[in-house]
Amino acid sequence: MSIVILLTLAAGILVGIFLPQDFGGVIENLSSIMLLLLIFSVGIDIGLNREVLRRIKRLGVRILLIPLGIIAGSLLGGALAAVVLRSDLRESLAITSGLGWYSLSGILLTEAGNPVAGSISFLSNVIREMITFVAVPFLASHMNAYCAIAPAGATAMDTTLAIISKHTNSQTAVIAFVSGIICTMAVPVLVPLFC
Amino acid sequence: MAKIIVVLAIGFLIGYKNILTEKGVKYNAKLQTVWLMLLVFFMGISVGQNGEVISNLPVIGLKAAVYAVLAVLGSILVIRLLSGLLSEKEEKK
Repeated sequence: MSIVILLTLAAGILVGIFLPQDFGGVIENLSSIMLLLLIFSVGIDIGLNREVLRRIKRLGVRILLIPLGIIAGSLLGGALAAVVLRSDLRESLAITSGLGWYSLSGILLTEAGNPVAGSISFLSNVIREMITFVAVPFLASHMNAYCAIAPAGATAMDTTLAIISKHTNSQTAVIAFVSGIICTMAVPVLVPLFC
Repeated sequence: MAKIIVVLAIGFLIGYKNILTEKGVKYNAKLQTVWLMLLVFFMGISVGQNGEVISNLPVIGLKAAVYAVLAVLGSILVIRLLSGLLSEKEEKK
């Protein structure tokens, strides 16, 4: 999936280089509409999982520790990156609070008037998804099942759920899915907080 | 921003109240991929039209990788620290 995304992005970039600048406004509007349609569709997906939502209640507040830990860890990573790259702290925190949801985090930063940070955020969160695919099997066998959920962030509810489920167990898969949903809901709140 | 949260909430309610038929749910999954691909494509066009981004592409790629690696390592570290807490309580149950 990540590869298809990158190829689509590359095709878009090529078109963008050769397309006259006059189309800029139209493209921006189209992006915003597609984003809302995507969010709407993701919302339906989340709502459909009533059984899982019920299980969250049963597992109790404890389960919140995982998405909260992932968010805290991502922000910690963002702060560290700000030091390493000598970048703006808020911008860095906005980038890593994408939690792997590249389509949303990139466009939020771009719409906030920072297209360079938007592009970094988009790519960075695509890379996070790719790292997750590679890291999950390793983390599951060398650390523990909870750690295998950590890199996935928001992607644990869709693209990386299968690989987590394959390398851990069904209990962890449910926790991963729930954590992915909570991370997904956190992204549109967190990113604007920093940009 | 409020728009995004409102749209997410409306979608959530439609899913939660089981308004869609089984066919509708399948369509939704397919459409989701369509919207995602179109969004990524249009975002690509915006990137391509931005001279500042294009001329800095290698730097942007490198920075993106640093952010991704550190965010992942940070998340693993915090969850590693928390996992003791999580499993302990599980054993008590």
